Amino acid sequence: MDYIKVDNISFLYDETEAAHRKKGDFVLKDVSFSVRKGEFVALIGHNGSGKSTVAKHLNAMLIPTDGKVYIDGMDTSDENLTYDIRRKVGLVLQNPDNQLVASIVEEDVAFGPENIGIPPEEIRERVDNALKAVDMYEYRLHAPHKLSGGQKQRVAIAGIIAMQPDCIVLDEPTAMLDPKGRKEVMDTILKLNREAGITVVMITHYMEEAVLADQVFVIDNGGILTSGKPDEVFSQVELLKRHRLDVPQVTELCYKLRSCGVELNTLPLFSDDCISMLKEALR
Amino acid sequence: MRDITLGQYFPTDSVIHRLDPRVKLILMIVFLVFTFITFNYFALGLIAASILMIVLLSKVPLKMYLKSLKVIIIIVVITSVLNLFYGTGEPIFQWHFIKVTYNGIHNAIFVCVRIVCLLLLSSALTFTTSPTDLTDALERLMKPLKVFHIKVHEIAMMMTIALRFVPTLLEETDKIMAAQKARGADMESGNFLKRIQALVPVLVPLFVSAFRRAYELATAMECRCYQGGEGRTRMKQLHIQKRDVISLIVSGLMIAGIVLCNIFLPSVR
Repeated sequence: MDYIKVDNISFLYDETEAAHRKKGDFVLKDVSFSVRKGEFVALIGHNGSGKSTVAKHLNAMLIPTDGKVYIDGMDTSDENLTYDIRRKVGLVLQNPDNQLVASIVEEDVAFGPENIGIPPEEIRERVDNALKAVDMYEYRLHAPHKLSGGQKQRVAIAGIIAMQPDCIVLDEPTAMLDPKGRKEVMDTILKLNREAGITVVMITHYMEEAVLADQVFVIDNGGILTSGKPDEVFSQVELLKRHRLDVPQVTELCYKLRSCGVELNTLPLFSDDCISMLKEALR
Repeated sequence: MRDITLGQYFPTDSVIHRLDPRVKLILMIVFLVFTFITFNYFALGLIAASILMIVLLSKVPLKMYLKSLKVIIIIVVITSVLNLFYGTGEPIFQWHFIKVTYNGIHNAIFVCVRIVCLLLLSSALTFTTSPTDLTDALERLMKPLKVFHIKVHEIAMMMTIALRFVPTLLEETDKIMAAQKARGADMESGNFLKRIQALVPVLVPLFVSAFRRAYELATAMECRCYQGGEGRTRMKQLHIQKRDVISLIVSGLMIAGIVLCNIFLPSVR
Protein backbone atom coordinates (compact mmCIF):
# COMPACT_ATOMS: atom_id res chain seq x y z
CA MET A 1 0.00 0.00 0.00
CA ASP A 2 1.16 3.53 -0.71
CA TYR A 3 2.21 5.46 2.35
CA ILE A 4 1.93 8.88 0.72
CA LYS A 5 -0.60 9.29 -2.04
CA VAL A 6 -0.74 12.62 -3.86
CA ASP A 7 -3.85 12.49 -5.96
CA ASN A 8 -4.07 14.97 -8.79
CA ILE A 9 -3.41 18.10 -6.73
CA SER A 10 -3.42 21.67 -7.96
CA PHE A 11 -2.49 24.58 -5.78
CA LEU A 12 -2.84 28.33 -5.81
CA TYR A 13 -1.55 30.45 -2.91
CA ASP A 14 -4.41 32.95 -3.09
CA GLU A 15 -7.41 30.72 -2.85
CA THR A 16 -10.10 33.39 -3.21
CA GLU A 17 -8.98 33.99 -6.76
CA ALA A 18 -8.87 30.31 -7.68
CA ALA A 19 -12.15 30.44 -9.54
CA HIS A 20 -11.06 33.33 -11.78
CA ARG A 21 -7.63 32.07 -12.64
CA LYS A 22 -6.52 30.03 -15.57
CA LYS A 23 -4.75 26.75 -14.96
CA GLY A 24 -1.52 28.41 -16.02
CA ASP A 25 -1.38 30.56 -12.86
CA PHE A 26 -1.36 27.61 -10.50
CA VAL A 27 1.82 26.83 -8.59
CA LEU A 28 1.06 23.13 -8.89
CA LYS A 29 -0.89 21.62 -11.75
CA ASP A 30 -2.41 18.13 -11.57
CA VAL A 31 0.47 16.58 -9.66
CA SER A 32 0.10 12.91 -8.76
CA PHE A 33 2.60 10.52 -7.28
CA SER A 34 2.88 8.02 -4.52
CA VAL A 35 5.55 6.86 -2.12
CA ARG A 36 5.72 3.42 -0.52
CA LYS A 37 6.69 2.85 3.09
CA GLY A 38 10.46 2.75 3.64
CA GLU A 39 11.26 4.24 0.27
CA PHE A 40 13.79 7.02 -0.35
CA VAL A 41 12.37 9.46 -2.86
CA ALA A 42 14.10 12.50 -4.33
CA LEU A 43 12.20 15.45 -5.80
CA ILE A 44 14.30 17.56 -8.12
CA GLY A 45 13.58 20.73 -10.00
CA HIS A 46 15.01 24.21 -10.26
CA ASN A 47 14.00 27.27 -8.25
CA GLY A 48 10.36 28.19 -8.57
CA SER A 49 9.35 24.83 -10.00
CA GLY A 50 6.99 24.22 -7.07
CA LYS A 51 8.98 21.53 -5.31
CA SER A 52 8.91 23.22 -1.90
CA THR A 53 5.18 23.70 -2.30
CA VAL A 54 4.85 19.95 -2.80
CA ALA A 55 6.84 19.37 0.40
CA LYS A 56 4.50 21.56 2.42
CA HIS A 57 1.51 19.58 1.16
CA LEU A 58 2.90 16.39 2.64
CA ASN A 59 2.46 17.42 6.28
CA ALA A 60 -0.67 19.50 5.93
CA MET A 61 1.14 22.83 6.12
CA LEU A 62 -0.64 23.56 2.84
CA ILE A 63 -3.93 22.09 1.69
CA PRO A 64 -4.37 21.52 -2.05
CA THR A 65 -6.82 23.78 -3.88
CA ASP A 66 -7.95 20.80 -5.95
CA GLY A 67 -7.24 17.14 -5.41
CA LYS A 68 -6.25 15.29 -2.25
CA VAL A 69 -3.16 14.23 -0.37
CA TYR A 70 -3.39 11.06 1.72
CA ILE A 71 -0.83 10.20 4.37
CA ASP A 72 -1.20 6.60 5.51
CA GLY A 73 -4.83 6.82 4.41
CA MET A 74 -5.47 10.13 6.24
CA ASP A 75 -6.78 13.05 4.21
CA THR A 76 -4.67 16.20 4.85
CA SER A 77 -7.64 18.49 4.28
CA ASP A 78 -9.37 17.07 7.38
CA GLU A 79 -8.54 19.59 10.11
CA ASN A 80 -9.04 17.06 12.89
CA LEU A 81 -6.20 14.99 11.51
CA THR A 82 -3.70 17.83 10.98
CA TYR A 83 -1.61 17.10 14.06
CA ASP A 84 -1.82 13.32 13.62
CA ILE A 85 -0.38 13.84 10.17
CA ARG A 86 2.39 16.13 11.43
CA ARG A 87 3.37 13.50 14.00
CA LYS A 88 3.76 10.97 11.21
CA VAL A 89 5.43 13.20 8.65
CA GLY A 90 8.18 15.50 9.90
CA LEU A 91 9.36 18.41 7.77
CA VAL A 92 12.96 19.64 7.90
CA LEU A 93 13.53 23.05 6.33
CA GLN A 94 16.42 24.56 4.45
CA ASN A 95 17.89 27.01 6.94
CA PRO A 96 19.00 25.18 10.08
CA ASP A 97 19.33 28.46 12.01
CA ASN A 98 15.67 29.30 11.67
CA GLN A 99 14.22 26.02 12.87
CA LEU A 100 15.96 25.61 16.21
CA VAL A 101 13.85 26.93 19.06
CA ALA A 102 15.80 26.48 22.28
CA SER A 103 19.27 27.64 23.30
CA ILE A 104 20.43 24.17 24.34
CA VAL A 105 20.65 21.31 21.83
CA GLU A 106 18.84 18.70 23.91
CA GLU A 107 16.05 21.09 24.82
CA ASP A 108 15.51 21.85 21.18
CA VAL A 109 15.25 18.16 20.33
CA ALA A 110 12.76 17.80 23.19
CA PHE A 111 10.55 20.55 21.75
CA GLY A 112 8.59 18.25 19.40
CA PRO A 113 7.89 15.46 21.90
CA GLU A 114 6.95 18.08 24.52
CA ASN A 115 4.39 19.52 22.11
CA ILE A 116 2.65 16.21 21.63
CA GLY A 117 2.49 15.55 25.37
CA ILE A 118 4.90 12.64 25.82
CA PRO A 119 5.66 11.83 29.50
CA PRO A 120 8.97 13.36 30.73
CA GLU A 121 10.92 10.10 31.21
CA GLU A 122 10.05 8.97 27.71
CA ILE A 123 11.05 12.35 26.23
CA ARG A 124 14.48 11.97 27.85
CA GLU A 125 14.85 8.54 26.25
CA ARG A 126 13.65 9.71 22.83
CA VAL A 127 15.92 12.76 22.89
CA ASP A 128 18.97 10.66 23.75
CA ASN A 129 18.16 8.12 21.04
CA ALA A 130 17.47 10.78 18.43
CA LEU A 131 20.74 12.57 19.20
CA LYS A 132 22.64 9.28 18.99
CA ALA A 133 20.96 8.49 15.66
CA VAL A 134 22.35 11.69 14.13
CA ASP A 135 25.70 11.41 15.95
CA MET A 136 25.22 14.56 17.97
CA TYR A 137 24.90 13.01 21.44
CA GLU A 138 28.14 14.47 22.76
CA TYR A 139 26.91 17.95 21.79
CA ARG A 140 23.64 17.67 23.73
CA LEU A 141 24.48 20.48 26.17
CA HIS A 142 25.93 22.86 23.59
CA ALA A 143 24.35 26.07 22.36
CA PRO A 144 23.08 25.73 18.76
CA HIS A 145 24.78 28.90 17.52
CA LYS A 146 28.19 27.43 18.33
CA LEU A 147 27.66 24.43 16.01
CA SER A 148 28.55 24.19 12.33
CA GLY A 149 25.83 24.28 9.65
CA GLY A 150 25.91 20.50 9.15
CA GLN A 151 25.69 19.90 12.88
CA LYS A 152 22.78 22.32 13.24
CA GLN A 153 20.91 20.59 10.43
CA ARG A 154 21.52 17.22 12.11
CA VAL A 155 20.10 18.63 15.34
CA ALA A 156 17.06 19.79 13.36
CA ILE A 157 16.69 16.26 11.97
CA ALA A 158 17.04 14.85 15.50
CA GLY A 159 14.24 17.18 16.59
CA ILE A 160 11.99 15.55 14.01
CA ILE A 161 13.14 11.98 14.74
CA ALA A 162 12.38 12.45 18.44
CA MET A 163 8.72 12.67 17.46
CA GLN A 164 9.14 9.17 15.98
CA PRO A 165 7.63 9.88 12.58
CA ASP A 166 7.17 7.27 9.86
CA CYS A 167 8.37 9.67 7.23
CA ILE A 168 10.71 12.65 7.02
CA VAL A 169 10.33 15.27 4.33
CA LEU A 170 13.44 17.38 3.82
CA ASP A 171 13.20 20.62 1.88
CA GLU A 172 16.68 21.24 0.46
CA PRO A 173 18.36 20.33 3.74
CA THR A 174 21.85 20.69 2.29
CA ALA A 175 21.39 23.88 0.24
CA MET A 176 23.04 26.18 2.80
CA LEU A 177 25.82 23.83 3.86
CA ASP A 178 29.46 23.45 2.86
CA PRO A 179 30.55 20.16 1.22
CA LYS A 180 31.54 18.64 4.56
CA GLY A 181 28.22 19.51 6.18
CA ARG A 182 26.39 18.23 3.10
CA LYS A 183 28.07 14.87 3.39
CA GLU A 184 27.32 14.63 7.14
CA VAL A 185 23.65 15.35 6.54
CA MET A 186 23.38 12.99 3.55
CA ASP A 187 25.03 10.16 5.50
CA THR A 188 22.60 10.75 8.36
CA ILE A 189 19.58 10.70 6.04
CA LEU A 190 20.75 7.51 4.31
CA LYS A 191 21.41 5.85 7.65
CA LEU A 192 17.93 6.71 8.90
CA ASN A 193 16.38 5.37 5.72
CA ARG A 194 18.40 2.15 5.51
CA GLU A 195 18.73 1.27 9.19
CA ALA A 196 15.66 2.74 10.86
CA GLY A 197 13.38 2.17 7.85
CA ILE A 198 12.10 5.74 7.86
CA THR A 199 10.48 6.83 4.62
CA VAL A 200 12.41 9.79 3.21
CA VAL A 201 11.20 12.38 0.74
CA MET A 202 14.06 14.69 -0.07
CA ILE A 203 13.91 17.82 -2.15
CA THR A 204 17.23 18.81 -3.60
CA HIS A 205 18.89 20.47 -6.51
CA TYR A 206 22.08 18.48 -6.15
CA MET A 207 21.86 15.67 -8.67
CA GLU A 208 24.64 13.81 -6.86
CA GLU A 209 22.24 13.46 -3.93
CA ALA A 210 19.26 12.49 -6.05
CA VAL A 211 21.06 9.48 -7.55
CA LEU A 212 21.11 7.86 -4.10
CA ALA A 213 17.31 7.66 -4.02
CA ASP A 214 15.11 4.69 -4.90
CA GLN A 215 12.86 6.88 -6.97
CA VAL A 216 13.28 10.32 -8.53
CA PHE A 217 10.52 12.74 -9.46
CA VAL A 218 11.44 15.67 -11.66
CA ILE A 219 9.22 18.69 -11.10
CA ASP A 220 9.11 21.47 -13.61
CA ASN A 221 6.73 24.40 -13.88
CA GLY A 222 4.29 22.95 -11.34
CA GLY A 223 3.98 19.51 -12.87
CA ILE A 224 5.84 16.23 -12.90
CA LEU A 225 8.12 16.14 -15.91
CA THR A 226 9.36 12.61 -15.56
CA SER A 227 9.90 10.03 -12.86
CA GLY A 228 11.43 6.65 -12.24
CA LYS A 229 14.57 5.01 -10.91
CA PRO A 230 17.61 7.35 -10.94
CA ASP A 231 19.21 5.60 -13.94
CA GLU A 232 15.94 5.85 -15.89
CA VAL A 233 15.56 9.55 -15.12
CA PHE A 234 19.12 10.63 -15.69
CA SER A 235 19.48 8.72 -18.94
CA GLN A 236 17.05 11.28 -20.43
CA VAL A 237 19.81 13.87 -20.64
CA GLU A 238 18.25 15.80 -23.56
CA LEU A 239 14.89 16.19 -21.81
CA LEU A 240 16.48 17.43 -18.57
CA LYS A 241 18.76 19.82 -20.41
CA ARG A 242 15.85 21.27 -22.31
CA HIS A 243 14.23 22.12 -18.98
CA ARG A 244 17.42 23.72 -17.66
CA LEU A 245 18.12 20.86 -15.26
CA ASP A 246 21.47 19.23 -14.65
CA VAL A 247 22.47 15.62 -14.60
CA PRO A 248 25.25 14.25 -12.35
CA GLN A 249 28.69 15.28 -13.58
CA VAL A 250 29.78 11.75 -14.44
CA THR A 251 26.58 11.19 -16.45
CA GLU A 252 27.17 14.41 -18.34
CA LEU A 253 30.79 13.48 -19.03
CA CYS A 254 29.81 10.12 -20.52
CA TYR A 255 26.93 11.69 -22.40
CA LYS A 256 29.30 14.15 -24.06
CA LEU A 257 31.82 11.42 -24.78
CA ARG A 258 29.11 9.33 -26.38
CA SER A 259 28.01 12.18 -28.62
CA CYS A 260 31.65 12.52 -29.67
CA GLY A 261 31.61 8.91 -30.77
CA VAL A 262 32.94 7.00 -27.75
CA GLU A 263 31.07 3.72 -27.50
CA LEU A 264 29.12 3.62 -24.23
CA ASN A 265 25.96 1.57 -23.78
CA THR A 266 24.61 3.08 -20.61
CA LEU A 267 25.24 6.32 -18.75
CA PRO A 268 26.74 5.94 -15.24
CA LEU A 269 25.44 7.66 -12.10
CA PHE A 270 28.38 7.16 -9.76
CA SER A 271 32.03 7.97 -10.30
CA ASP A 272 33.10 4.36 -9.60
CA ASP A 273 30.86 3.07 -12.38
CA CYS A 274 32.09 5.84 -14.63
CA ILE A 275 35.73 4.91 -14.04
CA SER A 276 35.20 1.23 -14.79
CA MET A 277 33.11 2.06 -17.85
CA LEU A 278 35.74 4.39 -19.25
CA LYS A 279 38.46 1.83 -18.57
CA GLU A 280 36.42 -0.66 -20.55
CA ALA A 281 35.87 1.79 -23.41
CA LEU A 282 39.53 2.78 -23.58
CA ARG A 283 40.80 -0.76 -23.71
CA MET B 1 30.48 41.04 19.52
CA ARG B 2 29.78 37.33 19.44
CA ASP B 3 31.00 36.74 22.95
CA ILE B 4 28.28 38.70 24.68
CA THR B 5 26.74 36.38 27.21
CA LEU B 6 23.28 37.34 28.22
CA GLY B 7 22.69 37.63 31.94
CA GLN B 8 26.37 36.85 32.42
CA TYR B 9 25.94 33.29 33.59
CA PHE B 10 29.10 32.17 35.38
CA PRO B 11 29.09 28.40 35.87
CA THR B 12 30.82 26.98 38.96
CA ASP B 13 29.85 24.01 41.11
CA SER B 14 28.57 25.96 44.11
CA VAL B 15 25.54 25.15 46.24
CA ILE B 16 23.84 28.27 44.97
CA HIS B 17 24.22 27.10 41.37
CA ARG B 18 22.59 23.79 42.18
CA LEU B 19 19.59 25.26 43.94
CA ASP B 20 16.23 24.98 42.21
CA PRO B 21 15.82 28.10 40.05
CA ARG B 22 12.31 28.61 41.41
CA VAL B 23 13.65 28.73 44.97
CA LYS B 24 16.36 31.16 43.91
CA LEU B 25 13.88 33.42 42.18
CA ILE B 26 11.48 33.50 45.12
CA LEU B 27 14.25 34.08 47.64
CA MET B 28 15.64 36.89 45.56
CA ILE B 29 12.29 38.67 45.46
CA VAL B 30 11.77 38.18 49.20
CA PHE B 31 15.25 39.46 50.08
CA LEU B 32 14.83 42.40 47.73
CA VAL B 33 11.60 43.37 49.43
CA PHE B 34 13.14 43.04 52.87
CA THR B 35 16.16 45.21 52.05
CA PHE B 36 13.59 47.99 51.81
CA ILE B 37 11.71 47.12 55.00
CA THR B 38 14.58 47.66 57.38
CA PHE B 39 14.14 50.36 59.98
CA ASN B 40 17.29 50.05 62.06
CA TYR B 41 20.94 49.11 61.72
CA PHE B 42 20.45 45.62 63.14
CA ALA B 43 17.94 44.71 60.49
CA LEU B 44 20.01 46.33 57.76
CA GLY B 45 23.14 44.54 59.00
CA LEU B 46 21.33 41.24 59.07
CA ILE B 47 20.10 41.50 55.47
CA ALA B 48 23.48 42.75 54.27
CA ALA B 49 25.14 39.81 56.03
CA SER B 50 22.78 37.28 54.43
CA ILE B 51 23.36 38.75 50.99
CA LEU B 52 27.12 38.73 51.52
CA MET B 53 26.85 35.09 52.54
CA ILE B 54 25.03 34.27 49.29
CA VAL B 55 27.70 36.13 47.34
CA LEU B 56 30.49 34.18 49.06
CA LEU B 57 28.69 30.84 48.70
CA SER B 58 28.22 31.37 44.95
CA LYS B 59 31.98 30.79 44.38
CA VAL B 60 31.88 33.41 41.65
CA PRO B 61 35.05 35.56 41.84
CA LEU B 62 34.42 38.75 43.81
CA LYS B 63 35.97 40.62 40.89
CA MET B 64 32.85 39.82 38.86
CA TYR B 65 30.63 41.39 41.52
CA LEU B 66 32.87 44.43 41.77
CA LYS B 67 32.66 44.84 38.02
CA SER B 68 28.88 45.02 38.14
CA LEU B 69 29.09 47.37 41.14
CA LYS B 70 31.33 49.69 39.18
CA VAL B 71 28.50 50.44 36.79
CA ILE B 72 26.27 51.93 39.48
CA ILE B 73 28.87 53.51 41.74
CA ILE B 74 27.96 56.99 40.48
CA ILE B 75 24.29 56.47 41.23
CA VAL B 76 25.17 55.27 44.72
CA VAL B 77 27.37 58.29 45.40
CA ILE B 78 24.87 60.84 44.04
CA THR B 79 21.85 59.44 45.88
CA SER B 80 23.84 59.10 49.11
CA VAL B 81 25.10 62.67 48.94
CA LEU B 82 21.64 64.02 48.13
CA ASN B 83 20.17 62.12 51.05
CA LEU B 84 22.93 63.38 53.28
CA PHE B 85 21.99 67.03 52.68
CA TYR B 86 18.24 66.69 52.58
CA GLY B 87 17.73 65.28 56.04
CA THR B 88 15.26 66.86 58.41
CA GLY B 89 15.73 67.77 62.05
CA GLU B 90 18.46 69.56 64.06
CA PRO B 91 21.51 70.29 61.93
CA ILE B 92 24.81 69.11 63.40
CA PHE B 93 26.76 70.99 60.81
CA GLN B 94 25.74 73.98 58.77
CA TRP B 95 27.45 76.03 56.12
CA HIS B 96 25.26 78.49 54.22
CA PHE B 97 22.36 76.50 52.86
CA ILE B 98 24.11 73.14 53.28
CA LYS B 99 23.19 71.38 56.47
CA VAL B 100 23.89 67.91 57.68
CA THR B 101 21.59 66.24 60.18
CA TYR B 102 21.70 62.88 61.96
CA ASN B 103 18.65 61.97 59.95
CA GLY B 104 20.51 62.78 56.74
CA ILE B 105 23.47 60.62 57.68
CA HIS B 106 21.20 57.68 58.48
CA ASN B 107 19.36 58.11 55.22
CA ALA B 108 22.58 58.22 53.24
CA ILE B 109 23.89 55.01 54.82
CA PHE B 110 20.59 53.21 54.33
CA VAL B 111 20.27 54.18 50.69
CA CYS B 112 23.86 53.26 49.93
CA VAL B 113 23.64 49.82 51.56
CA ARG B 114 20.27 49.10 49.98
CA ILE B 115 21.37 49.84 46.43
CA VAL B 116 24.54 47.81 46.83
CA CYS B 117 22.53 44.89 48.28
CA LEU B 118 20.05 45.12 45.43
CA LEU B 119 22.78 44.89 42.84
CA LEU B 120 24.76 42.15 44.58
CA LEU B 121 21.65 40.03 44.92
CA SER B 122 20.50 40.36 41.34
CA SER B 123 24.05 39.74 40.11
CA ALA B 124 24.22 36.63 42.28
CA LEU B 125 21.03 35.35 40.63
CA THR B 126 22.19 35.91 37.06
CA PHE B 127 25.70 34.62 37.75
CA THR B 128 24.40 31.38 39.19
CA THR B 129 21.37 30.65 36.98
CA SER B 130 21.45 30.05 33.24
CA PRO B 131 18.94 32.10 31.21
CA THR B 132 17.11 28.93 30.20
CA ASP B 133 16.65 27.86 33.82
CA LEU B 134 15.49 31.36 34.66
CA THR B 135 12.76 31.45 31.99
CA ASP B 136 11.79 27.93 32.96
CA ALA B 137 11.44 28.94 36.61
CA LEU B 138 9.47 32.03 35.61
CA GLU B 139 7.02 29.99 33.59
CA ARG B 140 6.43 27.54 36.41
CA LEU B 141 6.11 30.24 39.06
CA MET B 142 3.71 32.32 37.00
CA LYS B 143 1.46 29.35 36.27
CA PRO B 144 -1.15 30.42 38.85
CA LEU B 145 -1.57 33.68 36.90
CA LYS B 146 -3.37 31.66 34.23
CA VAL B 147 -6.49 32.22 36.30
CA PHE B 148 -6.34 35.87 35.22
CA HIS B 149 -6.02 34.83 31.55
CA ILE B 150 -2.39 35.84 31.40
CA LYS B 151 -0.66 33.84 28.69
CA VAL B 152 2.13 32.52 30.90
CA HIS B 153 3.37 29.85 28.50
CA GLU B 154 3.46 32.26 25.57
CA ILE B 155 5.46 34.82 27.55
CA ALA B 156 8.00 32.18 28.56
CA MET B 157 8.17 30.91 24.97
CA MET B 158 8.88 34.41 23.70
CA MET B 159 11.67 34.80 26.23
CA THR B 160 13.16 31.45 25.25
CA ILE B 161 13.11 32.33 21.55
CA ALA B 162 14.49 35.81 22.20
CA LEU B 163 17.40 34.34 24.14
CA ARG B 164 17.98 31.74 21.44
CA PHE B 165 18.18 34.37 18.70
CA VAL B 166 20.37 36.94 20.46
CA PRO B 167 23.65 35.36 19.29
CA THR B 168 22.24 34.60 15.83
CA LEU B 169 21.16 38.20 15.27
CA LEU B 170 24.42 39.57 16.67
CA GLU B 171 26.32 37.43 14.20
CA GLU B 172 24.07 38.69 11.45
CA THR B 173 24.66 42.33 12.49
CA ASP B 174 28.39 41.71 12.22
CA LYS B 175 27.94 40.30 8.74
CA ILE B 176 25.73 43.15 7.53
CA MET B 177 28.13 45.73 8.95
CA ALA B 178 31.01 44.07 7.14
CA ALA B 179 28.95 43.94 3.94
CA GLN B 180 28.06 47.63 4.19
CA LYS B 181 31.66 48.58 4.96
CA ALA B 182 32.76 46.62 1.90
CA ARG B 183 30.37 48.82 -0.07
CA GLY B 184 32.00 51.92 1.33
CA ALA B 185 29.79 52.70 4.32
CA ASP B 186 31.56 54.82 6.93
CA MET B 187 30.56 53.90 10.46
CA GLU B 188 33.47 55.06 12.55
CA SER B 189 33.90 58.74 11.79
CA GLY B 190 31.68 61.79 12.16
CA ASN B 191 29.79 63.06 15.17
CA PHE B 192 27.27 61.16 17.22
CA LEU B 193 24.34 62.02 14.93
CA LYS B 194 26.25 61.00 11.80
CA ARG B 195 27.14 57.67 13.31
CA ILE B 196 23.55 56.98 14.23
CA GLN B 197 22.55 57.78 10.67
CA ALA B 198 25.21 55.37 9.43
CA LEU B 199 23.44 52.58 11.36
CA VAL B 200 20.25 52.85 9.28
CA PRO B 201 21.61 50.77 6.38
CA VAL B 202 22.53 48.12 8.95
CA LEU B 203 19.23 48.10 10.78
CA VAL B 204 16.96 47.89 7.74
CA PRO B 205 18.37 44.60 6.39
CA LEU B 206 18.62 43.30 9.95
CA PHE B 207 14.91 43.87 10.54
CA VAL B 208 13.96 42.37 7.19
CA SER B 209 15.95 39.27 7.94
CA ALA B 210 14.59 39.05 11.48
CA PHE B 211 11.05 39.02 10.13
CA ARG B 212 11.94 36.35 7.60
CA ARG B 213 13.52 34.28 10.35
CA ALA B 214 10.43 34.68 12.50
CA TYR B 215 8.23 33.50 9.66
CA GLU B 216 10.36 30.44 9.00
CA LEU B 217 10.63 29.65 12.69
CA ALA B 218 6.85 29.74 12.96
CA THR B 219 6.62 27.24 10.10
CA ALA B 220 9.21 25.00 11.72
CA MET B 221 7.38 25.15 15.05
CA GLU B 222 4.08 24.23 13.41
CA CYS B 223 5.80 21.33 11.68
CA ARG B 224 6.79 20.12 15.11
CA CYS B 225 3.18 20.14 16.30
CA TYR B 226 3.43 23.30 18.40
CA GLN B 227 -0.06 24.31 19.52
CA GLY B 228 0.66 26.59 22.45
CA GLY B 229 0.87 25.56 26.07
CA GLU B 230 -2.19 23.28 26.12
CA GLY B 231 -1.33 19.62 26.58
CA ARG B 232 2.37 20.27 26.57
CA THR B 233 4.75 18.29 28.77
CA ARG B 234 8.30 19.17 29.77
CA MET B 235 11.39 17.01 29.56
CA LYS B 236 13.13 18.69 32.47
CA GLN B 237 11.28 18.27 35.72
CA LEU B 238 12.19 20.39 38.71
CA HIS B 239 12.22 18.66 42.05
CA ILE B 240 12.61 20.38 45.38
CA GLN B 241 15.58 18.78 47.11
CA LYS B 242 17.04 18.80 50.59
CA ARG B 243 19.33 21.75 49.85
CA ASP B 244 16.37 23.77 48.59
CA VAL B 245 14.44 23.10 51.80
CA ILE B 246 17.48 23.98 53.92
CA SER B 247 18.06 27.22 52.06
CA LEU B 248 14.39 28.11 52.44
CA ILE B 249 14.56 27.45 56.18
CA VAL B 250 17.78 29.45 56.66
CA SER B 251 16.36 32.34 54.66
CA GLY B 252 13.14 32.13 56.65
CA LEU B 253 15.11 32.44 59.89
CA MET B 254 16.97 35.44 58.50
CA ILE B 255 13.73 37.11 57.51
CA ALA B 256 12.25 36.36 60.92
CA GLY B 257 15.33 37.93 62.50
CA ILE B 258 14.88 41.05 60.41
CA VAL B 259 11.22 41.30 61.33
CA LEU B 260 12.05 40.88 65.02
CA CYS B 261 14.76 43.55 64.81
CA ASN B 262 12.30 45.88 63.15
CA ILE B 263 9.68 45.33 65.83
CA PHE B 264 11.67 45.19 69.04
CA LEU B 265 14.60 47.48 68.41
CA PRO B 266 14.11 51.23 68.12
CA SER B 267 13.97 52.50 64.59
CA VAL B 268 16.55 55.13 63.73
CA ARG B 269 14.19 57.57 62.13
